[in-house]
Amino acid sequence: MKKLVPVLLIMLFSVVPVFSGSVDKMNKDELKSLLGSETLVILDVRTGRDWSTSEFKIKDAIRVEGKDLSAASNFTKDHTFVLYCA
Amino acid sequence: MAGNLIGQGGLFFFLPFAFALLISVFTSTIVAKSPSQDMSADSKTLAVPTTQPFNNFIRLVLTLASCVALVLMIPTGALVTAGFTFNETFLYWFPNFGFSFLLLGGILFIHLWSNKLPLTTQTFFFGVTSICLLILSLYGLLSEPGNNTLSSMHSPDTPSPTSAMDAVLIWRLLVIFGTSLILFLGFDHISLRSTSTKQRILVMLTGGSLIALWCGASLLHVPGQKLAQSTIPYILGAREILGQPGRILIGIAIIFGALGVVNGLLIYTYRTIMQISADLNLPLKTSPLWTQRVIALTATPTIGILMATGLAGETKLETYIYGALLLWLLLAGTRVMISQVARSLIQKNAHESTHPGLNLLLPALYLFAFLFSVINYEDSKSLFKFFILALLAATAAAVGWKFIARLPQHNQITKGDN
Repeated sequence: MKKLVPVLLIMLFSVVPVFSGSVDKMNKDELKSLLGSETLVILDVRTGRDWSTSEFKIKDAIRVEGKDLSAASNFTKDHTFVLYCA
Repeated sequence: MAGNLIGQGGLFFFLPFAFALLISVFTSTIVAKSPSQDMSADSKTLAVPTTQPFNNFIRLVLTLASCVALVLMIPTGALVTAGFTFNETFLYWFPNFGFSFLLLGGILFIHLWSNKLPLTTQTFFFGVTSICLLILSLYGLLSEPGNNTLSSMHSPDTPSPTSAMDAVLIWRLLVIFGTSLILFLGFDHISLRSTSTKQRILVMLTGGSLIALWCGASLLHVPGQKLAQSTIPYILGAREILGQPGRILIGIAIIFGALGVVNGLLIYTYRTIMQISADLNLPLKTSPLWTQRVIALTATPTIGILMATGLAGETKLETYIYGALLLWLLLAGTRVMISQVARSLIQKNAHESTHPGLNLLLPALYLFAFLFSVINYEDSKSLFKFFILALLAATAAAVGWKFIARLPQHNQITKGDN
């Protein structure tokens, strides 16, 4: 049985799905350079524990609950929207 | 939860906290001295309560529902929290989910290896967590609050005892603390028998005191309003007390605490299954080590799937965790009632004076706490759905177990390799 333990562990990790969408990403330095801009809108779209247990919450970011993105409708298309998801 | 509540209640928080601790100590004492447990240990010593007032099947279903709900929901939340903590406190480049799965894999390894390893590592996990919290608490209590921080004890916006903690919060505190204290500080079937009353109470009071010290230190350094509103009051407290070293210490405490919670719940599930198998005469077809392995091999991949499918990113996880604790509360109340009724029967047969009203006071309190917490929960609908799902799954498992227990014994796996 003990020989099987590593095999079982590898199986456990192999079933972990990793999903990655094809969206433009921005690193923290790029975001930093935009902070303070009047056209910048940061939407914090993290939910559940992704948001609640995180120590990092961007100042002035708009918290979006669930899939309700209606907060974005208050801004024009000229704004730059940054979605903070992880 | 504790951080939010102490923020809301201020010093008044310690009253319901002490009440929850007292109830927990009473519960563990009653269940530890349960006549039915004495009977299973030595059937010659007591011969009265052979007629169980509760249907064994209901007890089996409740036990399984509570175990399954606890061992799946709480670890999902705890491991995800540990993953985020590691990512944000120690290594930014390391994926948080990767770390959560690493911890889960480690726990699985421990439970596959031997019967002794989970208990040995549990001491280590809780030891590290306790030391970190103790350092933070003592430093926090002995040091002056920072100049830029208002101590809520002296601040004008200190919540008043009458308004800050409403009845719902007090009962929620009882549910959360009462259950977690007795669950994680030694309240389980087998160790209760081998632990003396003094030892058990000492362990529970030590654990309770540690939590109280930590809450007190946080309240001293962070304004109550901030603690009440924050989603991470524990990090706020640690950061205010010791700065960056405080962040590291609370980070270690969270990670090792999560390991302790997951490992402890798997141990608890294993012990509960073993005990109920003996109590209800439902033989297991596997050796103790294989029973432990089967539980781990069933629970950990399920937790992995729950994490990978994003349950932790949904607010309903908190509802499910709360529901799991409430199911456990209901089970604890049922067990206390069984113990008390059995004791009353013994006393009655021995022509001793009995106090049926007094004996049923604690179970009634548990039932009240359960009903009050369910009715006043903000998302009762989801909570009910969760209860129904958990009870249905447990009923199916109970029927399956009863069926397998009746099968001939020749397929029994008896060889353990530890």
